[in-house]
Amino acid sequence: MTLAIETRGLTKCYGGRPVVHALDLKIPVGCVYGFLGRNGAGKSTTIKMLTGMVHPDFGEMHVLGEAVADLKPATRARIAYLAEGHPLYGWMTIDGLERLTRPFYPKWNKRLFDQIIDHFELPRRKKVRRFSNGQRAQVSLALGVAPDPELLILDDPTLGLDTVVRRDFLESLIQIIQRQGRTILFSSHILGDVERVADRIGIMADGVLRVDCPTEHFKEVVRKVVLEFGGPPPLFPKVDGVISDRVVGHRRELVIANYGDVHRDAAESLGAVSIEVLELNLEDAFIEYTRGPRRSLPVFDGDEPRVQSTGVQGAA
Amino acid sequence: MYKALAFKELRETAWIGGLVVAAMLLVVLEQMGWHLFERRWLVPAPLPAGIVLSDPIPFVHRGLADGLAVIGICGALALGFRQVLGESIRGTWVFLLHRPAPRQALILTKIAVGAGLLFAASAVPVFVLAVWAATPGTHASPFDWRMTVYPLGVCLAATSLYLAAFLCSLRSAPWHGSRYLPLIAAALVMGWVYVTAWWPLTGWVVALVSDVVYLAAILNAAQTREYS
Repeated sequence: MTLAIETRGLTKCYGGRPVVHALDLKIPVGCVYGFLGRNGAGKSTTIKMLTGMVHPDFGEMHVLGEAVADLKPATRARIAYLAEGHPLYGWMTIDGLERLTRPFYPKWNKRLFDQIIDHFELPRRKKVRRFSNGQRAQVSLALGVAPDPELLILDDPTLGLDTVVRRDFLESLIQIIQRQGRTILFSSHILGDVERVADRIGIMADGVLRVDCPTEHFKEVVRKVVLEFGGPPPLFPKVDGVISDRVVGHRRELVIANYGDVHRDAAESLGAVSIEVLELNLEDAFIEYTRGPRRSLPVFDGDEPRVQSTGVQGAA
Repeated sequence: MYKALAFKELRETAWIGGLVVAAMLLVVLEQMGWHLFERRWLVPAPLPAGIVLSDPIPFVHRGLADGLAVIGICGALALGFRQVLGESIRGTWVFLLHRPAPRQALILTKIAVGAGLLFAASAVPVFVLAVWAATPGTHASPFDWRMTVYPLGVCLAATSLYLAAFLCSLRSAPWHGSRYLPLIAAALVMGWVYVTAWWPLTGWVVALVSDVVYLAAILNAAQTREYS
């Protein structure tokens, strides 16, 4: 398996706190990888390290077979990077941006660039500063794709876009993906986008890669188990794979990765009145995976349902 | 490809160069005897008998060096900070530095445009003045081309200040004191060049050496800093 991106023990600390911790990431050539995580999970820092904008404290990283620290211009020309917020020179027009960017790329596909600009009906002579967020994203995409890159790294490309523009953007992305051998790494907060595009996902939580598997597999292995009791629920035994464990009234709600006999036996041993095993969609599974105990702290007193949480553990 | 980048830099900073040229032309015109800054309104009119407002002697009157120093400092700081902070504020460093070219070459292109613009904007008016001064019949004082060494040294010292401003805004430093240290050093260089009018070649040497040091520091900072 040829890898487009490979990191080993990648670590980055800010203020003594690791924002990316011992990240081992392997993205094969041709893979569309959805990089997920809450704000501050370490996604953008990882992407910036992969593009050489931020230097890691420890670890190794290779992109298209080359160490990022020694990335040659010819290799960089094979990588498109769409940074978060789509920073562009506001005083330039689309034509001006093309004139600035094009000379750097020997394989610039003028026809493709024009096609994308025309497809999105972007005004070529209007200054970029007058563009909406969506239009800026579209210009970025055109500039990123025109050099015919083998690897596209997109940092939250649909952030701040409305639903229609986001859909348009993703559909264009899907068309681009269809070209053989192209690898895409994109981070996002919008699970629907990831589900639509990615064939593999990685979930970062507190700087640690907690999930790295095919998208469908992730949805299949994460289950929500609801145990109903006659009184206060007893503690759930410590077993591997428990992602979250919350008590709501007389119910204990567990989210479990790789639900199997061990978990079933543990649940039955508690003497619950009923045991319900539910499938989770990607969004629910992601939320359960990434929300820490803080989100589950009790916020009601008295007669309100009491919600408490134990730790988070497990992996898919 | 560097031509495209140089054009972009020039497009972003030409207005600063234009202001420097405009200000320098006023100084040059003053030196040519146009008395733009003559404080005639301070002088009682009519002038007392025997007192005449004389034309400044080109390249001898301090007005040229004073004007060059003030305009050079303002232009250098404006250019240096504009070129770096402009990218930082817009967040376009990541766009620029992801272009497939060595990072140092991209930075050097920026600097070549900035330093070239500053030097040209301040030195060309000096050259114009020198040509005028060298033309017989324009003024009643001697002129030798070696008299241009000192004002051009001040122009060169301004590029040190420009590089220092560039370095200050590019380099990350925990304290403001250490961040602005290069500016203080460049101000000393400028001061040295300004006061050593009697020995102008030393000013050139000091300014050139400091330019090289700043250039090395900038290239190092560009390579080691983080663009997030």
